[in-house]
Amino acid sequence: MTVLRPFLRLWLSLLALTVAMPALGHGLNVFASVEGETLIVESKFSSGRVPQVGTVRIYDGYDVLVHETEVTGESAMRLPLPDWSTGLKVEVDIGDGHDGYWILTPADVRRQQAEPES
Amino acid sequence: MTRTLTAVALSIAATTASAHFGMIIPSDAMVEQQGNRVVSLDIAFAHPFEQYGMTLVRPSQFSVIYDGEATDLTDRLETSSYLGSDSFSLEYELTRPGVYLFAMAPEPYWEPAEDAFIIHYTKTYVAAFGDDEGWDAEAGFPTEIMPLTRPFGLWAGNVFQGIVMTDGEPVPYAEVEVEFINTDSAITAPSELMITQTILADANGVFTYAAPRAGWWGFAALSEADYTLTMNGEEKEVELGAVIWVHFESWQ
Repeated sequence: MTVLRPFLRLWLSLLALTVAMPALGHGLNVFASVEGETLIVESKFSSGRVPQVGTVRIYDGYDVLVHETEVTGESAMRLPLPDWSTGLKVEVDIGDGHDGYWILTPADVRRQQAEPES
Repeated sequence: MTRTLTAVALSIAATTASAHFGMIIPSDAMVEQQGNRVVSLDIAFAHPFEQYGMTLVRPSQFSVIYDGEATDLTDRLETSSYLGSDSFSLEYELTRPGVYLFAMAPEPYWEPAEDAFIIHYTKTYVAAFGDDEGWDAEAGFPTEIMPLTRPFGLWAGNVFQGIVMTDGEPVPYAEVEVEFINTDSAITAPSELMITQTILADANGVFTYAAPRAGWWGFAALSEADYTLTMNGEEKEVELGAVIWVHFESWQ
């Protein structure tokens, strides 16, 4: 049996997630980017407000949880960059059905690390 | 002879029954992170309902505005063809969530049939990755339609409202022409009057339109410039258009 590449597995699991629960991400927008060895996690409601409570979870390309921390209320949380060789899914969950995620592929991380810091 | 006369008649119909529209048509009005993050733009000048292309020379300016910051993309435009006429295209990668406003200030187009120049300031909005912040951003044109309805994520049948602005002020009772991109000429208008629909804004410059079908709809608020341009030594009037393109989605 063909072993699915980890990133493909993550992608398929996300596809299933979006098909099964299309409304879960409603109202919360999550974005993640990389500067050097720092992972920057941004999240906001459609109103522009930044969530004050909640949980940030980071999964690798096998969809295994590799880091979990609480939301700080900052518009951009800076976290140590975990091993990204299989890709990362950055999820912010604030409860009550509000969550969102951003995918960073290995290519995304490589490209962003190569960009000059602004 | 009959065939020639028919061709001439059709040519006249094509140029008189429909309106000119500056066009910026992205491959997707709402880009999701799971899909292609590169948006492809057709940048053209045409009669969109009748699928009749006109030549667009390189715009004097083409830019993208994101989070209040404008980036000039004029030199990145690639020559292309739209409905058989010269046009431009652009591949643009969206990198962050939010709304990207693509805006074109074209060179004046000489229209001998109207003995006037036409300048259509044209724009469209693309929402990236589920974030709609910035949907009412200004392009900063001399004349511009400011959306009062978020200009994406609309169902066919929804109304679209905008306010016509010139030099920063609403234009009372502005005339707004509306056309649909009638891809593959799928729709047959029962009357020439239905190729280009016309509405007037109210006393506050606000207009409303309910789109009957999914697809791209263009709204052009037309006015006369307070200046002229020279053609063969003669001063000619200039028609200004404030054009916005809005996509309506199928209700299904």
